Amino acid sequence: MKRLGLAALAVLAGLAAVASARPAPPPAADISDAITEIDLERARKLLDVASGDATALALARARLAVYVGDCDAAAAQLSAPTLGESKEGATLAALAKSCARATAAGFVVDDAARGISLRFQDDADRVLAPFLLRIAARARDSVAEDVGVELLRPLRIEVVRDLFSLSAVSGLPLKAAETTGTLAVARWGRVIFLSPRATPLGFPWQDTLAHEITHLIVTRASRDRAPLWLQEGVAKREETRWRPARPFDDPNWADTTARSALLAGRGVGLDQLGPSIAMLPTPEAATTAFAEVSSFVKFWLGEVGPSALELLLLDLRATGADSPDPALESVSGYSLAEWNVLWRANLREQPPRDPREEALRPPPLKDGLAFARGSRLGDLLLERGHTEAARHEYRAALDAAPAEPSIRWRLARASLLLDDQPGFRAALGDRDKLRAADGGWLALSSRALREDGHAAEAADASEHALALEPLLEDVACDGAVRAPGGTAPLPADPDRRALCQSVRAP
Amino acid sequence: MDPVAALDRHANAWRTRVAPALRVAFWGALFAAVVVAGALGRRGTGEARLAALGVVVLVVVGFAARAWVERRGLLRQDRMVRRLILSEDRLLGEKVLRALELKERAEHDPSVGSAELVGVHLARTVARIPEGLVVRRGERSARRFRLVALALSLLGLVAVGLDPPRAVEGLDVLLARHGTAPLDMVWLEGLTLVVQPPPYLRTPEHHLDPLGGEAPEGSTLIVRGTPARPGRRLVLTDGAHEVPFVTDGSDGVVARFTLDRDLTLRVAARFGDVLVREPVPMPVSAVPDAVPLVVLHGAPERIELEKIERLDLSYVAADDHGLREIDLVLRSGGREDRRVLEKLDGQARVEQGSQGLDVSDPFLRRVFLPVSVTIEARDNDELEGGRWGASAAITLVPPAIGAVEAARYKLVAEARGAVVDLLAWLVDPPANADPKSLEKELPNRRHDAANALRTATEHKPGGQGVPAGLASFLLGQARRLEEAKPNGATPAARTEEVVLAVDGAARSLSARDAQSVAKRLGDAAEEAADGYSEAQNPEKVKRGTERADLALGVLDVGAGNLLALEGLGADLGSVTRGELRRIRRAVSEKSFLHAELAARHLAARLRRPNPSFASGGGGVEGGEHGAPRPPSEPPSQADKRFDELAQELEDLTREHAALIDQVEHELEDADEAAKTDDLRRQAAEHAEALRLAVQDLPHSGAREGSGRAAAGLARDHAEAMAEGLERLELGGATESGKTARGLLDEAQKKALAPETSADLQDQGALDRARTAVEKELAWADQLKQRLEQDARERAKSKLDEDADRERSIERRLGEMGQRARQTEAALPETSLEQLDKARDAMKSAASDLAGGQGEQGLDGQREAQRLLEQGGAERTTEDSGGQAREGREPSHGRGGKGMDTRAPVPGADDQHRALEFRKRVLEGLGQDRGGRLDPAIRRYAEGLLE
Repeated sequence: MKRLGLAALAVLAGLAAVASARPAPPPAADISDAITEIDLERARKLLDVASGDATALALARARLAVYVGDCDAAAAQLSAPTLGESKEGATLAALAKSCARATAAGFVVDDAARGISLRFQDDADRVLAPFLLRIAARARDSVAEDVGVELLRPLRIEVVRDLFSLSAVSGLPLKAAETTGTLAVARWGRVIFLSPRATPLGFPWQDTLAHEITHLIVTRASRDRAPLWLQEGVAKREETRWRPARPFDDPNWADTTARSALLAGRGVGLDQLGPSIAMLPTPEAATTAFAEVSSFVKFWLGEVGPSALELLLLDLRATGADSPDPALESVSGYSLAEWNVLWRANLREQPPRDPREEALRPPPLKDGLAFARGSRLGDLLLERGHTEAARHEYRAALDAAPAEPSIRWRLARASLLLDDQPGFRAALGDRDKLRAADGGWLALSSRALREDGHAAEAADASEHALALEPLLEDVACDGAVRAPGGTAPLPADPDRRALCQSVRAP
Repeated sequence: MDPVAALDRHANAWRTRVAPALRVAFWGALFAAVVVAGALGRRGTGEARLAALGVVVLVVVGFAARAWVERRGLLRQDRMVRRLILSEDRLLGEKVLRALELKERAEHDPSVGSAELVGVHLARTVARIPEGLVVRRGERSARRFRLVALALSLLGLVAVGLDPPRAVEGLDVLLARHGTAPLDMVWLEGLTLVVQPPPYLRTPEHHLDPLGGEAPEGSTLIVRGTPARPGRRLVLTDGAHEVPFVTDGSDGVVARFTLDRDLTLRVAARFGDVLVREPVPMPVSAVPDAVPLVVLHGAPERIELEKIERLDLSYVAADDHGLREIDLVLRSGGREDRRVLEKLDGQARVEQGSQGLDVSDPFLRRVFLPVSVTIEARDNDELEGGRWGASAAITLVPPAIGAVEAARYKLVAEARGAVVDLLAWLVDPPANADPKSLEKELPNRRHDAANALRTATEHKPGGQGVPAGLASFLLGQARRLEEAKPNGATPAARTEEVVLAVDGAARSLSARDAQSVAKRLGDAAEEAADGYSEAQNPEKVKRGTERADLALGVLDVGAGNLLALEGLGADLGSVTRGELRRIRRAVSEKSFLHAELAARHLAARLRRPNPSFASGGGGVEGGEHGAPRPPSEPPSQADKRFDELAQELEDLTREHAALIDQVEHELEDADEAAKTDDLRRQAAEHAEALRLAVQDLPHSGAREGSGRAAAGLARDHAEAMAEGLERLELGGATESGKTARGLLDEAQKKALAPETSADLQDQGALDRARTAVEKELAWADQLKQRLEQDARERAKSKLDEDADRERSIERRLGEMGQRARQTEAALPETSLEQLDKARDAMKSAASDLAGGQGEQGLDGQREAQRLLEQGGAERTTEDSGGQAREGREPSHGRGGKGMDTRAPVPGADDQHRALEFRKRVLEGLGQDRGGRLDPAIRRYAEGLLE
């Protein structure tokens, strides 16, 4: 009898061993987590061996396809009627369809060495690829070091031609994107990025790119469980930390803006951000919200130390709770509400600006209408070849707005066209007296610095100009000013040369 | 005697007697078998025909077998003995058989006995056979055979004799191949063939020669006849189909066959699977209903759409039987628009007509590919639902999308450039130039720049100039530019204002045009997408790609035109070019799916023609550090101010029109109130008196020009006056009365000095009538004055209020005129003049109204309204032509009262259409509608004629 029992046990053990040798199908949550963490290779492997709810698996496959940027395949997978019955399936299907239309036959640039894949909707933007790749790699590595989490390769960046396409690829409502002026979105494991070609005055695309890459890294680190204030606060913090400080950087901007909003009762509130800052009702609200989250994160990290961020993200990833409070309390001892009170108190206690600082600030705009009239008249005159007359009008505009860099750039440019070097220098003026950075002004300033033998400073100014308005001819061509229909030398750097030629092409 | 020879002799005797009878029997049996086979085979089925064949074969084989057995039996002596002797004489036969056996044994076995002895024994035994034994038996058998033959022959003959054709039919059927018997037979007597054409042809039925003829396709062929032999299943067949004959109610049969193609009909009888046809076929040719022939005057022709305003289509459609419908068909790319021009009753064989196609037609407005215009006619063929015939096509080639907009923007930009050049000359005059000579040159330069602005309003690239509102704006700015002494401003400052004003308006125009062009390009992108969608079907690759290529060509050109529009246009043009490269990249990678997807994206993008990036306050989601954007205040508000002024003028014009309505109603009410019941009664009495006074006058109808004719007409007019008096329509009554009076005077003169008998009349009657008419005229005049006085008094208080409102409107108009003259919201000189005149007319009208002169005041108001409408301006944002292209709802112009007051008026340069338009307007206005407004309309028409 005893032998019989032992034999039965042996058989059972054998069966168990056989069973354990065959891998168990992965739970759906594992697949979802792998996709959310942008570990797409792991997600693919898990899906290969997965079994169970066919609808859930099909949805997961479609989601994975969207994450790898294969919207076409995702749209095909989601065309099955059963998948469209669920809200998630219908939403994903709509996104896949619009995304497939916007990305079909896009121009792809893969940089295997850097681990970055760029896809341009408009192939005219490919001249920007070398610059985008360089900045994206730098920002990714810098942010990863700060946050303590690596982003798996490749980093996928979609460069879209307009807000319409950004909305189509990201799923962000177009109206919301237009209201708040969304320039880029980190969604579906990719950075969806507006081409600088879309904005007439350019935008600080390098910092924007760093901002969105930070979102991807925070999402991966926290398994997308970081609250919006933390996401945006960290992204805002990291968007400039990847590079050295630049002129016109205002480290106190967030605190000043948040303090003003707090005192004026215009604050948005850390817990009132909604699903996205891009979906706030006005651009002003969005600016205030960014200032608040930036200020708060800066304050919090100042209080608890930079290493707390990595711990907080790990805690959030592990706890998975709806509220960030357990993780916050675990890392820093206080809940969000308590930190909020402390931060607000700190903001209120900040002393007002030094009156002497006020005196040093650039003069305000005297007459907006005169500035606008002078600028436009000058442009029209210059277009007709009346350069001297254009300078006359630009000067009138400059009188009305002496701190406005764009009019200084126009005047300096016209002076260069007349070969009036003293006039050029005078028009550029003093950088400290300018209200803000301007691509054109920086490009011509770089030229002046270069002519004066300050090569390093000239390179910095040129890079700064490129970071703002890469497709402005004076910027793209590194300050080589050309009269309408005329000629001018090309930059020596091959990438810059290609950019310059592209901008000058009719 | 040799026994063998003896036996052979007996066998021969048998043969000579039996063989002939047997042959007779065979033929008799064969005849009977054939008759039976015929009867069986007539059933026509395969089994029956097999059975029939079996019967014949059985007889033949049976007789053949019998002959073989007979021959075989006579070849051997023993068998012959058994067959012929034994049955006749048993003992003798057995003896002979034993003798033969003994002989055979003796030949093999000598122990049996000597062969000679045995031979002798056999010879003796055979010799005993009587000579007549076999002969008798043979004769008996022959007799039996003959009897059988006779019986069978008789049987067959009887069967054949009863219904000889049955046998023939049977044999015919038996010999059929492929279902058709070899021998044709006549089945119907008195055969007739009648054609019954399709009802829609409305042609009576008629006979057709059975030997051949033709009939309209779709006719019913009716074959009648009397069966030659009853009981046959007769059919009418064309070789493929057959229709059974049915009784026609008497002795005949009838079958109907539809003629759907050329046929050869035959009457036939069906026997099972076999058809036995009539020998004579009936070939009938089907005459098809011809497709309608449509001739479109001028087609084929290729016309540039931008070079015409209207396409007149004259057509003639003809059909051999009748027309049911005529359509105008427009096709462009994958689109088709079919419009019914005429629905006909199907009887008319020739129809002609004409149809106009305006370039503002909704279909033409939205096309971007060449449009094929055809007239298509459908005949009354009900069999196939009507056949369509199409004319040759007139191909309308639309202008490239955005070409007109780009050209007119270029015009405005060039005009702006001229003013910019003036500004440059003013702010940066030539070095060392003498100030006095500069001052002297200034008016000419200003004039040149102003002229450039005016020229921009006069050109019409592609038949479409700058919008009317913008034209007024530019003319106003030209006036400002030429002002010798600008209000406290230097010439340069005034020129700067004008440059910015024109620039602002030009940019607004280009933005609006860019949006309009982009939306139309969206349709082209959709067409490309549809083409690539079609190309994904392997069978339609060529057609799909051709369709898409055409659309891409349109997009290429359209994108170039968008780029020429600058601003938003440049942005959308750049987007379009980028997307076109993407589409072409997909095509080069042989992926029509991706090309379709990219084209659909482009279509959706162009249909939402917003800037690529639009934000009220800069970007979010990174990068922005709160640095304020450069000030973006518009440098000039002139176009906005102009539009505000135009809107105010429009409101004021509408308000003034409402005031005119009010005054009209008040005057009408006052008139009506003055017509009391008492007055109506008095008027009826006067009318009756007048009728009595003229009742003795002759009726009209006498010789023209005679005194009686004049008197007759006078009577008619006097009676008309009486009716006018009854209705208190005193104006008309007085008019009729005066005419009657004149005619009576003429009749009296002719009566006093008659030239013919027709001039002779009753003087008394004429006098009475003349007196009565005179009296009633005086009464009517008096009554009219009384009524007017009464109405004036009744309306006085209200007219005072109306005069105040008129003055108020006049003051506001004066203030607007001031603004239009002195500010940047400048109106053209001609408009200002009209507005000044309108003010004068308003002042005069107000004065009349205040003085109780309602009718005069109303006339003044109407004149002011006319001037006001001529002097007003449309907003710069309005584009009558563009609106028409976009297919928007008709706008309601000022004072329109729901009527579209912005109907397209042909320009003076299009003389033919302008004359036609003028004629239509005058005819319309010249129609007498009665009522209070009639005189005003007449005056307005007269004004147009001046």
